[in-house]
Amino acid sequence: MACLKEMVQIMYKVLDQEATEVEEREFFDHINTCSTCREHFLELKQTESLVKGLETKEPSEGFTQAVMAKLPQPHKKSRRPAKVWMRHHPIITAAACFIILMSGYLFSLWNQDSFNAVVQGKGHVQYDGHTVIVPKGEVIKGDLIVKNGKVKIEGKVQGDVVLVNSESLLASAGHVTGDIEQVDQIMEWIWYHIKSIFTMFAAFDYEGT
Amino acid sequence: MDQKVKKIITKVRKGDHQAFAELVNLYKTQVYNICLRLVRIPQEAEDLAQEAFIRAYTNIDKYEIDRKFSTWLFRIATNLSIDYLRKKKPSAYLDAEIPGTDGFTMYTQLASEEPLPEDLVLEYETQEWVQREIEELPAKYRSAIVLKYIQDLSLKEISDILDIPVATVKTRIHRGREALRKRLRHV
Repeated sequence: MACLKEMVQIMYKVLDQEATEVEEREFFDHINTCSTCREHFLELKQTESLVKGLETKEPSEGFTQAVMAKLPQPHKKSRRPAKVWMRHHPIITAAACFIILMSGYLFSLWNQDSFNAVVQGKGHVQYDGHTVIVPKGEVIKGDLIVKNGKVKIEGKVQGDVVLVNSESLLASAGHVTGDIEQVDQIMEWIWYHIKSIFTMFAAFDYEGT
Repeated sequence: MDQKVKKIITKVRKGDHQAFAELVNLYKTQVYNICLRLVRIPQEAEDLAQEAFIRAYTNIDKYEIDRKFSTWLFRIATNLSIDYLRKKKPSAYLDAEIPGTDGFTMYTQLASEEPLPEDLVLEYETQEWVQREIEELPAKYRSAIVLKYIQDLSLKEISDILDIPVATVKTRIHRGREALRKRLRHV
């Protein structure tokens, strides 16, 4: 006789140990009278025990060593905590990069410590070794910038005189219409650069309007 | 057990290469048996089990420490074995007739094996037979049956390993069991 599908479902529940007591009693009462279901149940039981009866086999002796030999090199992560730290603090990292590059740039400018004199504007100067001489009667219309040298002003400078690591031998207020700026410390020198950048922007701004 | 495993994993994550050997020793038998029952050939099972551990090592950062490690590891092993079965070229069957011969099969070409004590032969043969019948099951039933009856795992764990709902696990076990019953009933 073909049993109800429900009975098969209960049989599965019994096998899976999910049947209620009532269902279990109902099922065992049923297989007492139904040989088809009894056989089905016993066959499934036998199947389970045959499959469960498969022996647990051991892997080969050298299994662990073989795995360890094939592993890639130890973790990189723990070797580079700096990398992880940088990933967690991107802004500090960016600021540090900026400072390193900027200071490198400024330092290289500072380190060009050879004698150098620039006239930003019109006018001629004379040189005597590392001394810049503005001759008598000469008028420089613009700024005079001297690095690592000396300046002797006998004529006139209608502008600023900037002395970077330099000294002025003779300069009275009458000879220079602008300021005499003396830049000896690196911080001052940087400050001077920053100021000049802003002055430049201001000039552009002025020209623009 | 779980605490111990977590400690080892933390060590491995910190770069302690050797700590991983402890994990391999703890789980090698289970992992090997999953692979063995899925692919049947001992040498292939051994290679797959080793590969499963290597993948576990390289992906140890992806493992979520709050979950059960064995579930994660068995999942890797099961997936590798099923992939292997999928890619494997159908092997030459011993009982296939050799082309151009009249009724010859590879069986007739095999030398008879050394005689074994009778009960051992019976036991060995039963195991071989059950294993072969498991192998005949479709892969999705086979993995469910192996995890349930050979590893004795709960339905929940099987569902996590195979990444399918518990209800589906149940259905696969029921169907796999029925298919096996039909094959194994004539002992």
